[in-house]
Amino acid sequence: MTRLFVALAATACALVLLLSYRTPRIRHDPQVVHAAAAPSSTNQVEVVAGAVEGWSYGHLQLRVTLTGRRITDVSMAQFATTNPMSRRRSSAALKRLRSEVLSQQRADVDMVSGATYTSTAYLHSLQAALDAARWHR
Amino acid sequence: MAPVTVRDARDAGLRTWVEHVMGTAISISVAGAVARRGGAGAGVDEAVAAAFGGLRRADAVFSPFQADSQISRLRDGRTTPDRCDPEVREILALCETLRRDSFGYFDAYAAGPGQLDPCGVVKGWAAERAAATLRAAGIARHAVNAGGDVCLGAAPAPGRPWRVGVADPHRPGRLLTVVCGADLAVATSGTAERGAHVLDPHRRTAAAELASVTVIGPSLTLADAYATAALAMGGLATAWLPGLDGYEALLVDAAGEVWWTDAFPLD
Repeated sequence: MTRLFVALAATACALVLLLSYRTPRIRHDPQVVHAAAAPSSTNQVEVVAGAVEGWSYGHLQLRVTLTGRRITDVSMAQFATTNPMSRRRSSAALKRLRSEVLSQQRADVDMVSGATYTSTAYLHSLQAALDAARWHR
Repeated sequence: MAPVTVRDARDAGLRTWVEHVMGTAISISVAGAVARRGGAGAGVDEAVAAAFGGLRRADAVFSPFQADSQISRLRDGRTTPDRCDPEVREILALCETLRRDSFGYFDAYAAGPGQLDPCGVVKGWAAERAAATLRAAGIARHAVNAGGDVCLGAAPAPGRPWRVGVADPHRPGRLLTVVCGADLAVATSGTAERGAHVLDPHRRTAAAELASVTVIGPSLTLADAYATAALAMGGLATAWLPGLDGYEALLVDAAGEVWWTDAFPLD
C-alpha cells in the first residue's frame, strides 16, 4: 500500500507540475493532501493534489482518480477565483447574449465559426447561406 | 467539386471562393481593390488557386484517412519522421509541444498507442499557410474559413472589421455572438456537427461535458489546438484557458451554460 501511495503521489505531483509548466506564476505545493481507496471499487484510488496558490486567477486543486496505474479521471477539487469576472456565467447572461445577437442574424456577418462541418453538412450551414446570399445579390 | 465564385455588393466588395478539401468546405474571401476583376484584381484568381492547392497538398500529406499519406505510412511503420517532408516533422514537434502545454489533453495519439492522428492541428495550420500564400501575393484583405475555423487578414475596408458569427451549439443556424476584428484567428471545436468526436486522452472516452469551445488569438494553428484541448478537458478548461497568453475563449457546456475569459470581446 505504501508503494502504491508513493506512485500515486508522484503522478499527482506530475500533474501539478504539468499545469505549472504553462503558467509559471503558479507556486505549487506538491504534497498529496488526501489519498483514499474508494470503497465501491477494488482498484480505484482518488488522489487530491496539494493546493495551488498564487495563480493569477485564484486557487486550483486537482482531484486525480486512478484505476490501477491509469488515470481515469481528472477534475477540480477546488477552484476559487480571485477575479469575480472569471466565475461561471449564469444562464441569464446567455439569454441576454442570445437576444442581443438575434436581431443581427445572418445579414450582418461575413463568416461563421463553429464546430467543423462535413462537406455535406456545409450545404445546410449558415456559412453556405452567407456565401449563397452573396452569390445571388 | 468546381470552385464557386460568389460576390458581395453590400460593402467592401467581397469575393468568396469555396472548395471542398479535408472533408469540409473551405471558403476564401478577398476584399478591397484586388478583389475587383481586371486591373488591380489581376492575379487574384491565381493566388486563391495557389492557396487551395496548398490545402489539397496538406491533405495528401497529413490525412490519416488516405492510405498512402505520410501520416498513414508513419502510423503503420512504413516510414520514419526522418524520411518525411520537413512539414511533417514540424507538425509532430508542434503536437508534442501542445501535448505538454495542455497537460496531455491535446494528444495526437488520443485513440491509442501508435494511432497517430494530427487532425486537431493540421487544418488550422494549413488554413494559416493558405492565408500566408494570399498575403505573399499582395492580398492583405482576406479571410479563410476552414470548416468553421477562421483566419482573418487585414480588415476588408478601413474602419470596417471582419464580422465573424459564433455558432450557437444548441440552436443550429443561430449565432451566440459576433466577433469583430482583423489579423485575428477564431477557432471553434464542438460536438454539434460531428457528435462527441474529440477523445479525452486520459480516460479514452469521448469528451461530452462541453458543447463548444471558441478560442480567438493571433495564430489559427494554436487557437484551433487550444479549442480541441479545452473540449477534451471539459470543465477543467475554465482553469486552463485564462493562463494562455494572447488567447481568449468562450465556452458553452452541454446544459447550455456559458463561460468566457475576461477579455473575450462580447458585443
